Amino acid sequence: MVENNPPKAPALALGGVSRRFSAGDRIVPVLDALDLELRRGERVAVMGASGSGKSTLLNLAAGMDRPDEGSVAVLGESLAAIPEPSLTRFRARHIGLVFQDFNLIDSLDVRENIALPLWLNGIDPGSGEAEALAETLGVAALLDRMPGQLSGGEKQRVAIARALVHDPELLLADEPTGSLDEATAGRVLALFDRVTAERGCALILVTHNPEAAAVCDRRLQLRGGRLHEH
Amino acid sequence: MRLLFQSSRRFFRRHPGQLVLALAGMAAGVAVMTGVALMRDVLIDSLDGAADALAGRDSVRVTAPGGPLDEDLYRELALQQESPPLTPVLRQRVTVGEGRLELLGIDPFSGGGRGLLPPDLLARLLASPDAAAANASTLERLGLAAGEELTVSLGERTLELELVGPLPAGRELDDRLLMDIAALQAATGRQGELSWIDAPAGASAWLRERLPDSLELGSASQRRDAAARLTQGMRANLSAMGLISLAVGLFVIFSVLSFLLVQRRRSIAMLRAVGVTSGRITALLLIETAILAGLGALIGLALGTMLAGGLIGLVRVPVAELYGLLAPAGVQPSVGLYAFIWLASVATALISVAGLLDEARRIPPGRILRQPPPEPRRRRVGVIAALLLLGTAVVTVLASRSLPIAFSALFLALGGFALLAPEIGVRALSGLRRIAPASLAGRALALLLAGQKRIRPALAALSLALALATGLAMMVLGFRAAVDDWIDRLLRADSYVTASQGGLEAATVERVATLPGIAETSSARRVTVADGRQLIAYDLPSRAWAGFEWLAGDGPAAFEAFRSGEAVVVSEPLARRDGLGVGDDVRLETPAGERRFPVAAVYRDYASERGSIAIHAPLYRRLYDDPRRDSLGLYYSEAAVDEAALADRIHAIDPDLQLTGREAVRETTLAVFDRTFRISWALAALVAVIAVIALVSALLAMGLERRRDYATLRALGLTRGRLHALVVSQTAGLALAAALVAVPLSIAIHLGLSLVIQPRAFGWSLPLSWPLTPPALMLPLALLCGLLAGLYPAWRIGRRDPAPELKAE
Repeated sequence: MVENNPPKAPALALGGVSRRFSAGDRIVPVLDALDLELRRGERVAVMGASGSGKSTLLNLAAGMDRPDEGSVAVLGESLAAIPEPSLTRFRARHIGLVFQDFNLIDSLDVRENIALPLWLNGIDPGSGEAEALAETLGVAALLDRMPGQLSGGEKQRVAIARALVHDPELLLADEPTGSLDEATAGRVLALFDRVTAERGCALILVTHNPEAAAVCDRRLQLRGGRLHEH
Repeated sequence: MRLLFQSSRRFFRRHPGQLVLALAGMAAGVAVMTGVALMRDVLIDSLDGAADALAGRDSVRVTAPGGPLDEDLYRELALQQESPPLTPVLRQRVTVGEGRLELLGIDPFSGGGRGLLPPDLLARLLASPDAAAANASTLERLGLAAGEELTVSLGERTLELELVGPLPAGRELDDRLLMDIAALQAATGRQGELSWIDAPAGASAWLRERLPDSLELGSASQRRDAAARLTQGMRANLSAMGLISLAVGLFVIFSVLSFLLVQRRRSIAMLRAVGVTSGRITALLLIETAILAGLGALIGLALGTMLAGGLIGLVRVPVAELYGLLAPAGVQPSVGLYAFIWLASVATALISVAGLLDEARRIPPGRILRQPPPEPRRRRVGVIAALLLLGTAVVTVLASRSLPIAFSALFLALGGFALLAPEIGVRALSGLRRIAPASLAGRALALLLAGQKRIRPALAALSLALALATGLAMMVLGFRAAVDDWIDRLLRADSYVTASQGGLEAATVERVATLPGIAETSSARRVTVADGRQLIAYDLPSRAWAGFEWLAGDGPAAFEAFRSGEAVVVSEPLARRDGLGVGDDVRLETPAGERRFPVAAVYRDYASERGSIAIHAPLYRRLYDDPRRDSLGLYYSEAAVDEAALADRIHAIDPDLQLTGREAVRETTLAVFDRTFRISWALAALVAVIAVIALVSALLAMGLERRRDYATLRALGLTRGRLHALVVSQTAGLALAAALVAVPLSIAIHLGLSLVIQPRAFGWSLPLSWPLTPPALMLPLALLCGLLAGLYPAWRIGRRDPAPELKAE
C-alpha cells in the first residue's frame, strides 16, 4: 500500500487541520484549519512563539497525534486511513524524527542508538550506514559510548544520525541545533542541505534560530493556529 | 510543611493505583505475619481448653501415667472431709469426616461441672444418654442446629449423638461436646474409667497428701509448657515463614516507594529549586512512608486476623493427629500482640526505605536526574556484607545446636542471599541478553538492565520467594520420601490389629495369635511414663527387627542385648534431646522403683518428636505389670490369606478389634504427613503471591522511569504489539533470571531445612535427598508467572500516547 504511493505526491500535505486541547473546562484551539504542502526535497522552517503549536504540528505530521478536523497525508497516503500498527510501521519506514530533548535510549550505546531504526525496519545494522553517518556528524569516535557519557551537543548529533540512518523521505526536526555550538550547528545544517538535495528528503525544521531557518527554502510563522509566510 | 503535605495529598489523590499497591504490599506481608502469630498462640492454648472451661485457667490436674484413672479414686477423694470441688472428666476423641471432636464426659453436679450447663440444657442432657451439648461456634462449624443428630466415628464404630445447645461457652469449648460422664462411659465401653480429675489450684496441697505415688498432679503452667514444648518445632517453623512473608512484603514497600519517588523526582527537584531544604524533603517522605506503612499494617492486622481462621483450619487436624491436641477454632487477638506487630512493621518499613530517602535527599535543585550514576563501591560493600552474613551463619550453625540460633543463622543466610541475589540476577539477565542481543527480547533485556536499580529489590524478593517455596517443597518431598522409606521398612507384618478402646488384653492376643494362617505376631505397647517420656514395649520377631534403621550401635548385638532385657534402644529424637549415645544409661521410674538400662542402639524414628525408649515387652510387663498391647502385627504363614475371613474371625473374638492391612497403614501414615504439611504449602503460596506483587510493582516503577525510552521507541516505529512483547519479555526475563538465581539458593535452603532446622526442631535427621521436581517445575512456572505479571505493565505502558512523553523537559 505505502510502497505504491504516487511518485508525484507531496512529501507532506496538511489540509484544513484543526487540533484542540481541553484545559480544565476550556477548549483551547492550537491549530485552526491549517494548510501546508511540502514537496519532496523541500525544506521548510517553522518558527513561532512557545505554545503556538509547533510540536503539535510535528506530532500530527508524524502520525503520533490525530487532527480533530482536516487531513494529513504523507507521501500521498492519508494517515487517517492507516490503522495504528501500520501507521507505526509507516513512520518507522518513511519518517525521521529529531527530538528537541534528543531522547536517546540510555541503555543502548551510540552505535545501537543510531542503528535503532534499521532494527525496527528489519535491516541488517551491519551495513555500515550507522558508522558512515557517525563519521559525517563527527561522532565516529563515540560509537561505543553510552548516552550518559556524552555532552548535549554530541547527543544531538547522535539523535540526528538516528533520524537519518534509514533514509527517510520526510524529516521532522524539533530545534535540532538548539544544543549545538555555532560550528557544529553549521555542520548539521550542511548535512540537512545535502540529505535533502541528494536523497530528495523533505524537511520541516522547527527552530527559533533565524540562521538555521535561513538555509530552508521557505520560512513559515505559526501564529493563531495557522502558518504565515515569514 | 503544610504546603508540602498538601502537594503530597494531591499526588496520591491523582495516583490511587500507586497508593493501593503500596498499601497492598504492606498489608500482605503484615497479614501473613499476623495470621501466623495468632495461630502460634492457638497452638499453645490448644491443650488446655477443656480445663479452662471446667476448672479455670489455674486448675491442677490428676492423671495416671500411661493409662486411665480408676473412677473409684475420685469417689474416695470426693467423700473425704474437706474435699475440694473435684471435676472428674472422661475424654473421648472422635472423628467427623476429616475433622476431630472431643467428647467430654462430666458430672454436672460436681466441681466445675456444676453450673456449667443452664437448667434446660442440663435437663435435656440427663434425659437422653445420647445428648451432647455444643457451643454456638461448634454447631455452626458442624452445620447443624440443636436438636439434630450427629454421627461420630470411634475407630470402626459409630455413635449417634443428639445435639443440644447452644452451650453458653467460649472458644475453650470449640469442637468439644459435653456429655454426662456415665452416658459417655456406657457409650464407649469405658465404664469405671476417668481421663483425669481437675481441681482448683488451691487444692494442690490437699491432693498431694492423699494421692498415691503412681499418680501425677500437674499444674496449669506445666500443662501449658507441655503444649508449648509439644508444638515447639511446628510453631518455630511457622514463625520463620511469617517473618519471611513480612520480609518479602517489605520488598514490595521498597519497590512501590521507589516507584513513587521516581514519579515525583521532577516535583522534588523543583521544590528544592525554590528553596525547600533536603531535610524537609526527607521529613516529608519519612512521614508519608510512616503513614502508608501504618495504614497498610492496620489493613494487614485485619486481614491477618481473618487469615488466621483459615490457617488454623489447616493445622487443627495435624495438631490433633500428631500431638493429640484440640486447637480452638477461633483466634484470641490481644492489643499487645497487635501493637507489637504494627510498631515492628512500621519501623521495619522505615528502615527498609532509608536508602530511598537518601536518594531523594540527593536530588539536586531544579534538575531531573535521568539515570542515577552506577555505584560500584556501594555494590562491593553489599557483596562483602553478604559474604560476611553467610560466613557468620555457617559458623553459628556449626557452633550451636540450639533451634533459635539455627533460625537466626537461617535469617542471616537469607539476608546474605538477599544482598547477593540482585548481583547474580543482573549477571544472569546479562547472560540471557547475550543469547540474542539484537532481537526484541535482547533489546528488552538491555532496557531492563538500564533500570537495574529499580529491579534489584524485585530480583531479591522474587528469587528469595521462589527459592523458599522451592527449597521448602524439596525438603517436604525429601522428608516424605524418607518417611515413606521408613514406614515401608518398619511395617514388616502383613496386617495389624488394634482395638478401638483401651488396647488388647493378653488373652485376646493369645487367641488372635493362634488363628489359622498366622505364623507369628509382633506387638507394641505405648505409654507415657512418669517423667513424660514415651516408652514402647516391643515383642518383635527377628524379621521385624530388620525393619529398624540404626543410626548408632551394632544392630545384631543390640538385638541380643534388647531381647535379653539387658538394654534398651532409643529413638533419634530422644537421643538428640537428652544427649544419649550407645552405652549411656536410661533411667526408668517403675512401680518397683528406679531402674537403669544402657542404650544399645539409636534408631531412626519419625513417629514422635518427643522421642521414645523401646524396651523388650516381657521386661516391660514385668516392671509395669501392664499386660495390654496397643497393636498386634500379624505375619501370615501363607502368601494368600483371605483377609476378609480373617477380619471376621478377629471380630468374633472381640467386636472392638480392627484389622488393617499393611498398605492401608502406610497410606494412613503418609496421609497424616501430607495433612501436616498443608500449612507449609499454604504459607509458601502466600509468599509467592506477595512476590508477584513485588514483581508487578517493580516493573511498573521501571516502566515509569523508562517511559521516555518507550515513547521514543514508539515514535521511531515500534508498534504497540511489539512494545507489549518487549515489556512482557522483560517481566519474563526478570522472572527467569530470578528463577535461575533461585535454583542454587533453593538447594541451599533445602539442605539448611533438612540438615540443620529439622534435627534441631524435631530431633530427627533426614537422609540427604535430591528431589529435583520442584526446581524443574519452578523454572517454567516462574517464566509463566513472569509472562502473566507483564500483562498489566505492558497494557499500562502501551496505552500511553508517545507524543506527551516526548515533550522537552
